[in-house]
Amino acid sequence: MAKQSKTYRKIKDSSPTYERIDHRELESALGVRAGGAAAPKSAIRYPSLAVLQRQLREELVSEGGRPRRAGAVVTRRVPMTESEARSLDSLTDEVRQGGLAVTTGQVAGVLLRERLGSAYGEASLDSASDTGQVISQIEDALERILAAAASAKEELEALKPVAKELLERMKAGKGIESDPAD
Amino acid sequence: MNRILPIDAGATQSHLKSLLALARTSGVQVHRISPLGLKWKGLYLLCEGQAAVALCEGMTPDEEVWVLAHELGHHFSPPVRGLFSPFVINVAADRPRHRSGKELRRRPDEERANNWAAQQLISESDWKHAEAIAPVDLAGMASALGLPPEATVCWQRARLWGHHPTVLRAVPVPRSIVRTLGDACEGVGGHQALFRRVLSDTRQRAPRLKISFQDFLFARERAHTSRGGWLPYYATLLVALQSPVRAAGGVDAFFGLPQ
Repeated sequence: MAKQSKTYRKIKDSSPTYERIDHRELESALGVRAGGAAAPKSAIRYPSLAVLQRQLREELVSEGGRPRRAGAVVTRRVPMTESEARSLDSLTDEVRQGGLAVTTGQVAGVLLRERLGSAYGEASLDSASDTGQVISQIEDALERILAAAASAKEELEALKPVAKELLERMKAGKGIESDPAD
Repeated sequence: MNRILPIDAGATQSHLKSLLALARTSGVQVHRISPLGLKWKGLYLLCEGQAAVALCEGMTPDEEVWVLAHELGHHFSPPVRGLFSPFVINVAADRPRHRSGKELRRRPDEERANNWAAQQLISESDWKHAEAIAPVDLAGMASALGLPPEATVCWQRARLWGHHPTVLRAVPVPRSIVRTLGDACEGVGGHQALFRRVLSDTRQRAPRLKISFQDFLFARERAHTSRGGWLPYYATLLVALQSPVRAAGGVDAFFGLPQ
């Protein structure tokens, strides 16, 4: 006997369709003018939204529960400013609108890896043959970055007057290394 | 143990000159700054591509050389230079622990800087020369090199630690030394385990100390770094080893290591 699934009623979108506003009308209404060629939205991001979505889609693995990034086994707290947090949330929302259920941490992980890759002068991750190994290297690097940042903060706090004095002297000129008497 | 040797001031001055020349050619500024009421020895700053080292005024010449070398070590042996760029300013400092006044436990970055400093200041031949003067005393060796003892401790750790760990030698000693060291075997811990190994062959009529190369390095370091109760035991052990090592023609000859 054939299965008879429930048939749902069709929904018709009857909301009004607004007229498109020409940019010249907007310029005249606001008293402004266009300031040059507009860059495509994706071009001003690094990496582009499409690349970001593709990388996340490739890396996310589902084993029941929330999907996770393959190889991402280390979790670290990363201090950030409010605006950075807002940008990250906004970017995560855009990725989610593309149909991927990702967290801000997963998006941040991919962004961090891209930035670190360029800092190290490494090849693009697209060309990496062993993604797991690369991710592991990135996680190690992240750990070192966080340790360096924490260390720098601690030392700067404790020796702020010395650092300030040294910075002033650095700007003023050469030190004893240029003194032939020493 | 050797009596405290005077520091070779000529060697210290030579080290300072070569480090300052290296700083000059590498574009690293070096400034002496008053303590400003804080406890610190040195500071390394990398800011907007310009590197500088601050040295706390009032240090002894050998200490100043070591601190300068350590701070330059941060410049020449960073973990990955690119790592520092996101934080605009990279900073590393040598300062004592807040409460105890002891040195801060070394972080990996600090270890790297120390290793660079020790190997920049001490060549293999310098080490052999100093070891011939004070074979069982790292502080004596450091004096002969015009450096503070931290330099020889770091060099030993960087260059000798873990090499030939199983090479073993037996040294006949008087029963009185065995009795003294016997007190150090009671309890559980690294120190006790070392002295138990050293005294594992003393039940015969002619007692002997069994010392491996690794235990010798450990004792030589601990005689400098230990404070309080363990210091006399390490000093006793090293005093007992001093004559046999000298008689053999040096540490390498005593342990039969390739020279």
